[in-house]
Amino acid sequence: MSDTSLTLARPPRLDSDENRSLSAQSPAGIYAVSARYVTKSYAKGPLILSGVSIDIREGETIALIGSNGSGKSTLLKCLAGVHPINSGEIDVFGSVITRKTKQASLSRIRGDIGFVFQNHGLVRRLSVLSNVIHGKLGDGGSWRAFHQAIAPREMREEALAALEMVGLADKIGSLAEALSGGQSQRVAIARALIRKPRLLIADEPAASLDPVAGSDVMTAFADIAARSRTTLLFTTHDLEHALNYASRIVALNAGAVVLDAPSASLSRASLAGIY
Amino acid sequence: MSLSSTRSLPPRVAWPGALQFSLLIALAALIIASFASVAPSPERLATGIPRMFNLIGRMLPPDLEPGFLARISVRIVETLAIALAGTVIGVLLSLPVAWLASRGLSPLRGLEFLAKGLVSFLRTVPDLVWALIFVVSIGLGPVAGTMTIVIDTIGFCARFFAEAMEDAEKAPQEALRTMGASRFAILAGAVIPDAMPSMINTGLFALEKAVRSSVVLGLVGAGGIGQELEVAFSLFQYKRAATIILAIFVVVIVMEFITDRLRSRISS
Repeated sequence: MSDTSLTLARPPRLDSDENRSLSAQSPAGIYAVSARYVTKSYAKGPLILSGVSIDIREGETIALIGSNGSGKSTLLKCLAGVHPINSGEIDVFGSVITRKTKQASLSRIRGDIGFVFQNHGLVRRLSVLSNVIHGKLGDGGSWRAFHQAIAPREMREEALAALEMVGLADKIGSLAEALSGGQSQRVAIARALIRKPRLLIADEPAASLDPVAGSDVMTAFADIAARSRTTLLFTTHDLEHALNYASRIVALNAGAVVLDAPSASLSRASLAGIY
Repeated sequence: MSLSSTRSLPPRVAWPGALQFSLLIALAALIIASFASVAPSPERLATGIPRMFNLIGRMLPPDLEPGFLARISVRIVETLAIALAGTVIGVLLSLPVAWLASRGLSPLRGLEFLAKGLVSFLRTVPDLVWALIFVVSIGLGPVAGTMTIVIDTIGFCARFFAEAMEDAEKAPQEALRTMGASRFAILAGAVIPDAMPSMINTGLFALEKAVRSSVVLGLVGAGGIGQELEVAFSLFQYKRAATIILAIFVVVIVMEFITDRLRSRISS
């Protein structure tokens, strides 16, 4: 293994008792995520999530499907502690998120999570290397991560290793604006990987890509998740992606779970009714 | 085929209501009154234009005496130094002010208007007024000129920097925010890199503006070539004044050429 290898497995965190889940339904170490009766609305609007319960085992690859407005993206952001929930409880690697969870606890929880967005969210005028290092700007990261020129040596090496994992090490010096859509999305994956996440969350990662680039990105995701035993949760409208790359498919409709089944037991025809 | 409709057509012109009509009449009266009080009358033009030609005749040929040219050169360098130092300090100070003033990014959260108000105040007070204030408080000379340029640059740059920051691409900011990055990290990592070309453009415009301003600031004793121009006119040394005006023209043109080239490089 090279000096720049990135070890994705990380030791479990020792959380304080107040954040440790007391729920018997979500024992830490078995489930990566366990959500119970989660509701969410924005301001005084209608409920986007109305009592969602979902368990995700460590190492599982879950596809979240559903029509626009079904609550997929909102659920991802609630599971990651980005958006506060109205009620219910979410256990993420043994740390509990409720309506009252403080920002400091949410920050610690987000430290275990990597995010990839539909529009990749790269800073176009910065290099690929700087963009990957940005993954360290988040919780538990460093202010020196805002540009590769001042980042510590080990951070630069980890970024190189993450880029090797997504097959883009040769683009390390390129500007992000010079990349294709598929390459940009793989850089976004590398940015998520440098956080050494235990849970990788991707919101429609292939939606803005052509079919070939979309499949490449999904293959990269699945490979990395399998190799590093990282739990992967992604949303998609592409039923082929859901069936081919996920071990389990969860469908949402109007903010409620309407299907939760192993992908091996499902087919394109059986999922057609979701939309 | 015949095209016909039972509906009536809208009027060709939307006539103003009573209030709008009254306001238009008031505006017209104001414009006419302004012309009557301050616009040049034909009689004054008839006497003024020949005088202007007479003055131009007395300015020619410009004074090219070597000792005077050397003194002018020193003043030109001083003028450029005032403009450059004032712009650099002003641009650097504009960054935090712009951050405080930018909607959605400011750590002041809801109180951005305070920073915006400060920037508006700095911008609306004319540079000559700032120069007078600094000449009185700091004393005659180039330091007062530099301070004036600093304040003028903050008023100019902070506004456009704040707008560039507000217009920066939202997706990278959202990505970093989701990862838990702080407001400052989002600013440094995503906002400033995206806004940088626009900010450099604004900074170059500020430098151009500062060179023009620093020329005039000398008229009120704030250092630079303007001070020499004021002395030349006061002592009726019109040939020397012509030399100074030509020197100012060359400096401003060269500065505009350089900043234009830099801007086109940045935009390409």
